[in-house]
Amino acid sequence: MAGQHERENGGTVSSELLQMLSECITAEWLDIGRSLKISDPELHNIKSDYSDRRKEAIYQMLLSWKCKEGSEATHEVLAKALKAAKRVDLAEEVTKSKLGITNSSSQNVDSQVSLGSNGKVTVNISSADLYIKSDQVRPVLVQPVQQVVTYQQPTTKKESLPAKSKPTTWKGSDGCIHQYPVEVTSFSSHYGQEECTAYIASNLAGPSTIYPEYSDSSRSCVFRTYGPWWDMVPSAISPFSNSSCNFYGMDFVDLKLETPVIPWKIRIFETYYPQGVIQIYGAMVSYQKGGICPDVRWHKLWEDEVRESIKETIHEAIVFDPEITIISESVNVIRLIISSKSLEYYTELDAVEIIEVEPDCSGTVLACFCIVDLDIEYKKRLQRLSLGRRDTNSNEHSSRNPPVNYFQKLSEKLILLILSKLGFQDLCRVAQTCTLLKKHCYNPSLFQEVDMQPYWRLVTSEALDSLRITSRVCHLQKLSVSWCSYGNNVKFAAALASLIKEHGTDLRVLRIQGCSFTLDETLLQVAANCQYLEELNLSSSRNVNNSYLCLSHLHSLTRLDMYRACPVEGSMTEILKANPNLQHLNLGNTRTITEFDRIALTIGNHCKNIVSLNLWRAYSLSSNGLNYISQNCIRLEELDIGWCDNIDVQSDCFVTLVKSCSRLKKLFLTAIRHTRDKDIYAFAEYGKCLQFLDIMGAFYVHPSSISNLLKCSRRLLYLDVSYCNQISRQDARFWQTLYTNVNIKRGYMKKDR
Amino acid sequence: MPNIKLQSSDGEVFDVDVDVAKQSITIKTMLEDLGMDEDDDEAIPLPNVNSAILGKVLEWCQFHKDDPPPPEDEENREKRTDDLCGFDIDFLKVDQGTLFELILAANYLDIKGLLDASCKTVANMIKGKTPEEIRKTFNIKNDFTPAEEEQVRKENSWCEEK
Repeated sequence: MAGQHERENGGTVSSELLQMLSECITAEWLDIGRSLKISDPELHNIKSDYSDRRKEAIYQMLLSWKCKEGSEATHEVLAKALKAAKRVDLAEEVTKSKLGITNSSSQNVDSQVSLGSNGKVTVNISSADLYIKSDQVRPVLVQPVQQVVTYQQPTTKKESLPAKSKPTTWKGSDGCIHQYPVEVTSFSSHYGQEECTAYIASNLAGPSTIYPEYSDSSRSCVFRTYGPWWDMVPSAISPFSNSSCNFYGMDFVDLKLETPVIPWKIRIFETYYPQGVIQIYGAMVSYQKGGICPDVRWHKLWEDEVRESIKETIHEAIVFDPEITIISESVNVIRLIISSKSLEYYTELDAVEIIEVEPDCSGTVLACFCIVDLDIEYKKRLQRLSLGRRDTNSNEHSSRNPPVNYFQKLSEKLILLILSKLGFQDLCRVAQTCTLLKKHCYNPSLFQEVDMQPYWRLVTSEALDSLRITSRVCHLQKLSVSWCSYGNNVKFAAALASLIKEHGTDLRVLRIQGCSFTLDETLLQVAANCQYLEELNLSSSRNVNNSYLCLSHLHSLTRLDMYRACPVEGSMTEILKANPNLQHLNLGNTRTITEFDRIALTIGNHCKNIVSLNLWRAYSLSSNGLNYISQNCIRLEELDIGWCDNIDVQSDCFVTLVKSCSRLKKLFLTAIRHTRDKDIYAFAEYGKCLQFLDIMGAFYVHPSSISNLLKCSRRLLYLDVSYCNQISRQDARFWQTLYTNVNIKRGYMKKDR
Repeated sequence: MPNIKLQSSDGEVFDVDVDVAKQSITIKTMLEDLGMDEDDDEAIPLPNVNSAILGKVLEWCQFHKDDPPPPEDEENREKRTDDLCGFDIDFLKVDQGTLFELILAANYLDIKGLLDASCKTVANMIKGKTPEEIRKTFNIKNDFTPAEEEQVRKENSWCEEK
């Protein structure tokens, strides 16, 4: 598979080179374009599209040439065009770079290695040179540059190993086996829907199909959200009060590998709005009989140090190749953690390539990297040593100036006040220091809100058991085990069910997102014990047989998230009838519900207090269903009916909606093709509270109605008009300059002239 | 601005702006409930606070005298500890003895902001440390019996890398 890549890209120019050129080329760029056989109308379009940003125009022109020419986009052709435009200097640069790089940036190591036989040192230097140049002109590339440079040393060292030590199974001259994951085993959310192939998480398995193209492609893996918008709407959920501030993940996706490996490199093909991946973990899962999974141990392979800081948008496909920690064990599952909060649009992932450390040489590689994962014995020894040291230290102290443990001077109230500032993990650590602090750390007042999601990789069934047995959680009010455990971990399922059975009486909030274990026993315990439960989140946790119906024993629910869960209509209508105070309901992507009009009717009749309703991809919803909701749920502030394309817009149901639900803040009509100008005018007239509007893919909406909307809707913050055929990029850009408060989205389209 | 006099446990008298001193709810209540006159020459005795700590406390009150009153709603206040202002961070860079004395004084004088900031500082000294590192930092003696230690380790070991 890797070979296929090399073939595809061999000999063609890299995006980095184009980037560098775009920094250097000036007024002669149109001449260069003509030499590259780009037509005058096309040049004109590029020029007008990027009228204020020449560098970007040049880059886009070169990129368009590269995409069009494919394997014909060679260094020679480019050098010739540059010479023709009297830029001999740049032509030379291009020729030189061909010697250095035959591939794009992140595939650099391969190229260096494969070139090893014909003058490795020169090659490395010249490629590093080039990178440093692009680094100077474009700060955003700094990180990859460093990575490329750091990788050179071990690669070179590895190369210097005697040839006979390399087993014949090694692929390529880098001696490493490359693999793509065979399956996406679980994930927290995706844009698409299971039965189809467009924009689903499973697209991340298998080889790259999009790179190096930078585009919105349905063959990619896309998550449900991006940006800060989802935290600003009525349905946003608040974190627990003692949640870890260091947790930034929004989504995760688990990838199964066919062959367990110690990963040496993990290359992530990000093909649209890159830089969403913030952490990478690996684990070895030994599946037991019947697909049952035990508690697994996750290794952190990489973490983004900048994390939530604002990242400069990169409009190009990249192979993200972070410098990962080399661990001492093999893994067969990789978990990527995504945070697209600081991105400007949906991030799209094409593929992930895992390159293994050759088993026989893993020791050598470890030494080369100087990254040491202390093995358990060594760690224990170290701990024993330090324990011993502590004893001698304290003896020394006591003879002179006895050290004071100031905690002993504080009252219980003050100790608890300090401990209340700590998260779940720190409390468990403080408990292990001494009897006094242990006593206070087990105080149930500190465990009213237990958010395990930030510690998903550490939380095991034993952790749940110990919390239950020590009764620390006897006043538990909020519990989240989202993202915890891997696969069908029956021990974890049993531990959670027991915990809820024993301590669930006061439970108000329960979040079990993205978990793959069987939920049936837990749901039965919830129904039997948690009569005050207000929030239940089961999104993307689908391992449920028939126990949804028992949730109709609950009567206090105000928030229910069933995104990608699998309740059938019968159960769902009973739950809705039993919970008249429901305010927030997410039934997005619940494929098991086939008659959404029935659900809508039940909501209209029984849940009149509904504030936010997410029916994303509820295909069976018709305008009748929508009308039930509009007429009965006038407190509605948020409605997502994206991709519900069974709705007959001609029935004026959108007009009815905005007239009746005047508090609407967020309205997502994504991919409802027949939304009309008439509807947009109605939104402007009646939707006085409207802040977020998505009409992506509305084919018949014209600029005039949008102009009017922008003029009238003073509260508007967000408007997505991507793939609205009648609206050009120029329109969007013009509005953006006029209405700076509104974030106007119009994703890059291939059709853009 | 009228001033009042505060007397520390070791007899030192501090002449303080009333508004600065009133950030202490204890002092505020004394002035209001006990009818202590602001022009009164008599110093208010604070037998639980020594002069070194009282000096520090008043320095803190002086800096924060124009702060808006802290939110009443204790329950909903976020428990994050990374929101200390620059002044507080520097102000609380003191030895542990002083830090804990400040906690006790802030509690006795009922100064919410100072109590909160000093407790957060202690919490920050705990965060991310292993049990052994916490013991070292705070001179905590491991007084578990081997059996107890094994038990408590078992009950909490999930949070450590294995």
